Formats: sequence, C-alpha cells, structure tokens
Amino acid sequence: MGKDLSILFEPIEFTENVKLKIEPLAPLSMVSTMPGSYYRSLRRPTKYMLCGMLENLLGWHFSEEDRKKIRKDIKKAHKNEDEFELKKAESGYTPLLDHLFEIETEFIPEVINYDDVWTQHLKGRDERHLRGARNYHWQLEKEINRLEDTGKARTDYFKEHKEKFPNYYASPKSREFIVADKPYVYRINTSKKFIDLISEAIQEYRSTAYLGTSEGWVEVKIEEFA
Amino acid sequence: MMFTHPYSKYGLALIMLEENLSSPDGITHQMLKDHLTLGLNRYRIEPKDRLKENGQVNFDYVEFDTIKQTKKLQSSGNPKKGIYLTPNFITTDMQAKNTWSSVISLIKDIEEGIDLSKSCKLTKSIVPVSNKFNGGKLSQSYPKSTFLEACLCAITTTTPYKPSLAFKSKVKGQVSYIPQAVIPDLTIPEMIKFIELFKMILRSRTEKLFIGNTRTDEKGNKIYFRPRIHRGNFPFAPQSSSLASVGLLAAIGTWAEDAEYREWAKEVLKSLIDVPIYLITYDNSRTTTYNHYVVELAKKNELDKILYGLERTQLYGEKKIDLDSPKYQQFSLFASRFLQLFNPPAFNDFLAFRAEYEPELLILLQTYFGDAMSIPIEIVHSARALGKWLNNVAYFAAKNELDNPSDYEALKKAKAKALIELESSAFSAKTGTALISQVVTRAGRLTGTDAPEEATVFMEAVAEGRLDLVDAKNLITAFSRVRGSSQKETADES
Repeated sequence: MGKDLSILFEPIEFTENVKLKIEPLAPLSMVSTMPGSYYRSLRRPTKYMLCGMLENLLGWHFSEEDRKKIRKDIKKAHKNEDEFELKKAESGYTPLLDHLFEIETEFIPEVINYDDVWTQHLKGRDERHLRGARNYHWQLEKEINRLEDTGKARTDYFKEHKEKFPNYYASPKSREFIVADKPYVYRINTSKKFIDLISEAIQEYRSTAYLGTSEGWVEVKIEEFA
Repeated sequence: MMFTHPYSKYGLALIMLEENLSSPDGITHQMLKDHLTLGLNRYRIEPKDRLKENGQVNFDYVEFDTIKQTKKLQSSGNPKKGIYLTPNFITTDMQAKNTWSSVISLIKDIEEGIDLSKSCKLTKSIVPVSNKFNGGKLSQSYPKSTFLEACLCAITTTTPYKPSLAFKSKVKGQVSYIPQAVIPDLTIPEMIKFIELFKMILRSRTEKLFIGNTRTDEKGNKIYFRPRIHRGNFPFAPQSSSLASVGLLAAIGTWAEDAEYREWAKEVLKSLIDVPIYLITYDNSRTTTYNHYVVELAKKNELDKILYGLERTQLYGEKKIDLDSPKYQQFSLFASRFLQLFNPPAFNDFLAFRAEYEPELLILLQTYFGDAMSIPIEIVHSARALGKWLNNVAYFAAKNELDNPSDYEALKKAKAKALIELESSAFSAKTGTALISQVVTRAGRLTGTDAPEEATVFMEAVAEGRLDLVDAKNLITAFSRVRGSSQKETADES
C-alpha cells in the first residue's frame, strides 16, 4: 500500500492550536552535538528530533535518495510562498514534516541525569570487528576458539570470513540519560489534516515512537486544549 | 548558532568574559588566536629553581616559543627532569602531540582569515568528548560543527582558567595521571559569573600549587614529583581524585566566608545546585550533580573540613591510610557518590566500609540524618551522644584488655574489634527494643558504665517505635564510628 504524501505539498495553513503531549516511557538520551566519546544528552528534544519521532510514528521510513526527491517536490510546491525554508539538521537529517507545524510554547519537565553504557554499532575491517561482534555464523565457532591470541591472526581470519560476520560490531560507550517525571507538552499551530494524520497513526498502533536512542520509547498524544 | 553543549559554552563564556562581549557575534579572529595561544603557553610545566634545602622546587609553565622550537617537548614531557603535561590540557601523555598540532593548525586557519561559520570536523584532540561515530554513513566519521565552535572547544580544552586536575589512578602498581576538566552545565550568564569567581580563586589562593617535592636517590640523582597543581588548581583539592569536584565546591564555599565576596560566592554556589557537572577526560567522561544539602554545607564553609575528615578515615583492615591503595580508592569513590546522591542506597554503600571516622564528619552525618532523612534533630543529637559513649566504651574496653596499653597498633586493633562487635549486635537486632537492649547492655558490661542521659531521647524513640528500625541502626552504627577527640589514638599524635 502506498503512502499518501499529499499533505506535504499542500499550501500551509495553520488553523488549529492543539496540545502535543510526549510522555517518556524510558530514560531518554537525546544527543545532537559532539557525540563519539561521551554522549551528553539535551534536556529537551529539538524540533528535528520531534519530526523524526513523528515520521517513525507514521511509519515513513524513507531512504536518503527518496528524501532528496520528496524535498525537491516540496520546495517546488511551495515556491510561491514567501519565506518558505526547508531546513536540515546539523547531523545531516533532512526532515519532511518540519513545515507542517510550528511550536508556539513548550513545557519542559524537570529531569535528573545519570550515565549509563550504551551500545554503539561500528563497522570495522580488522580484529576489532571480530572481537566486538556479538553473533557470527555457527560454523566459525570452533575455529575462532582455536585462533592464536594475536591481532594479526584475528584480523586475517576476519578478512577471510567477512561475510559470516554481522555488518556491525558492538562497542559500548558512556552515554548520559535523562529521566523526566512529567511529559513534555507543546502548544503547536498546525493544520487539521496533520492532526488527523498523526491521530490515525496513533490509533492504529502503527509504529513505536522514540526519542534519542531507539530504546527511548515515548507515548505521543494530540489533544485539544480544554 | 545556538551553543547547547557545556563544553563549547565554557569556552564561549570565557571569551565573552575576557573580552567583555555581550554576545558571540562580537568574537573576532584575533580574540580566538589570543586565547588559543594562551592555552599553548600552559602546555608543559617544568622545575624552575634549583633544589631548595627542604627538598622542594618551584615549577612554572614552559613558554610557547620554547616548545615551538623544541620538537621533543611537543610530543612528550620528561618526568626524569620534572617536565610534565599540565593538568589543564585535556589530553593524555600519548595523545598530547595531536592536541598540540591540532591547536596550531586552528591558529594557522585563523591567521589565514577562515570564515568562522565554515563547517569543521570536531576531532577528539580538540574536543575530548567527541570521537568517530556511526553517523549512518558508510564509514565512521567525526561530528561536525562550525569553525567557531571548534575553536571555543579548543579553548576549553587548553585554558588554564577552568577547574582541572590530573586524575590519579593506580592500576596494578602503575600510577597514571590523566588531565580532567570540571565543567558545570550552566547558562551563559551563570557560567560567566562562575568563571570570574574561579579566576579570582586561582589568582589569590593558589601560590603553593606550583611547588613540588623532590628527592635525591642513592646515586645522587634528583627525583621529581608533580607539583601540587596536579591535585587540582583550586584550594582544598583532595588527594583522592574522585572527590575533586567536592573540593571545588569547598573552595568556592570558603569565599562565602569573606564578607566582600559573600553574595557573589553564594550566588555561584546556588547556581550549581542540581546542575550536572561534567568531569571530562580524553578517554572517559562522566557527570556528577550536587544537591542543595551538600551545596549548603559548602556555603556554610563546612565542606573543606568534611573532605579533610574523609581523607583521614581509618578503614579497618588497612594498616595505614594510603589514599592510593585500591581499598581507599574505592572508599573515596563511594564517599563521593554518597555526597552526590545523598540518599539511603548511597549512604548504605558508604556505611558498608567499616571504618573509624574523624570528628569532622559529624556535621556531614547530622546533615544527612537531620536534613535529608528528616529525622527530628533532637533524636539525631541524642543518637550522637549514644554513639560517642559507645566509641569511648570500645576505646576503654580495648585499653583494659591489653597488656601494653601504649602499643598503639594493638590498641587500634582491639578497639576496632570491640566496635565491630557492637555494630554486629546492632545490625542483628530485629526490633527497636532488642536493638537498644543488645547494644546498650553489651556496652555497659564491657566497661561497667551506663549510657549517658543525653541518649535517652533516642532510646525512647527507638523503643516506642517512633523511629524506623533501619534509621536507628544506621544512626548507631554511624555515630559510634566517630572517634572521640579526647582519645589518644595514633602513634603520630603521641
């Protein structure tokens, strides 16, 4: 079944003012800058992160290529509007939903923070990939156990049997997580069609929404203001 | 552009303070170059004076020009000659030359008039918290930002105007010193106030930091040791690196005593409550946070005494206080966690180390039980009286038991044994009344004395069930460990 992207190309008309409520169900680690050795979390998601979360919720998982094409069409569809800007994040993420809502006010809960170990997945070409791979083909088990305990032996073995290893190996990194005691609440201006689009996805349990890491599950609700 | 990471925010606040700017827009190329060059002038430290009589020597920074001309100094120090990496240069001995050359390269780009908003790789050598990571591309890559942010980070990495120390860790007999920065996560205005206060602390109370000890070995060669600044570039820097951030709070707290700076220091301390403080090293970083109880102790200028007391805690089973030993390193780590979290699990971990506490820790225990645990203060004071009696009971019981009461080692051991017995009987009690009768009776039998009258309030509260049994046990255990100040304890005191 195809996905209906028509909303992206329609003229922008914010007629509705609603509450977007995001309740974290697990500790979140939202990193937008300087990752690598220690991941420091933001205390609130950026708008790009919210776009990513909503795209996941909708089940819109598009490749870089497709995104480029879609964004080109979005630009074309809105070329007559003044001040229309299609932004992209510093990390390279190119959102599709950014122009469909704007944040008027936000309520950020108090958070406590702590450090934990998080599994980063990396690609290697040498013994590091062999040592860090959690799963590999069962046929290799006997031989790996008998390998010489040298870097060269492991690297050579890995290169020889590369296809029998997973594409990524695990490398634990220290990461900061935050725990919020209340939901994040945003007052957003948007269109009725967008509200329906999101609400439908929520009701269908189409996909999980998460912020930061893929374990940072959140519950998303769109509500009217009382 | 918005700066969200405390690491670049620190460099930004520093430049804004030094150059009197109200926004990042005023930053010029020359300013960046000046501040980066200043950092490079604080890269290596070396002994300056000839050996003084009492085996000490003054240290000073090696000039930038000297290092530029001496290639060897760029890549390594020379511990044999007393030339060390400074603790404010956040790198490691192995990687120092990369940081050096990366900063030189940034300066070169600045001199060539690079556009400050140009995209730039944040390599680990200039931003220790970064590294190559899986950014969804075919191969790992460094995170990117603007050249300006890279420079601000490099300033944070190299500047001497930040709290820093050389984190000492002893693994399998090998000691390594790793520079560590202490960066609080404050807003820009708060950060500016913090840095301004810190610079003042640096200027006025840190002369002794540049003195290092020396020794002469049998062959007549001088052996150098790192100057005190490696413990921390602020007063009251503890010997145990895990307590360093507490030392920083204590240092700020002493300024709250000075009438002229009181309001300022108190404001800075207030801004640090519940705020993440990042301890950043090249390979590893972590966050700590201090709650208002501990910051209050700093404001009242009690925290430095508490640190003093913690570093003189006598752990049972350890012959002497060697802060570098694994047991003491562990104790310092759990003590620092207790100070951070200040909750029952952290306290239990702290209490699990059987030890005798110095009287300086009384205020810490009273703050924990009275304020954090909300136990009525008269019960806490009364428990203290009971604990004091128990500690004295153990002392006199040990003295009576020994043939030679002036053998301090044996006395220490015997007293520890007596205290552990009391602790165990407290721990095994299943009800409040059992707790009181077991402990008080046993102690009374050991010395033929009664519990003091001041202890009545506590004992009644326990017997009547008004005080939680676990709290009661903790109170007795903790306070009975506090050494009575009148006891002649160690051989060094006699």
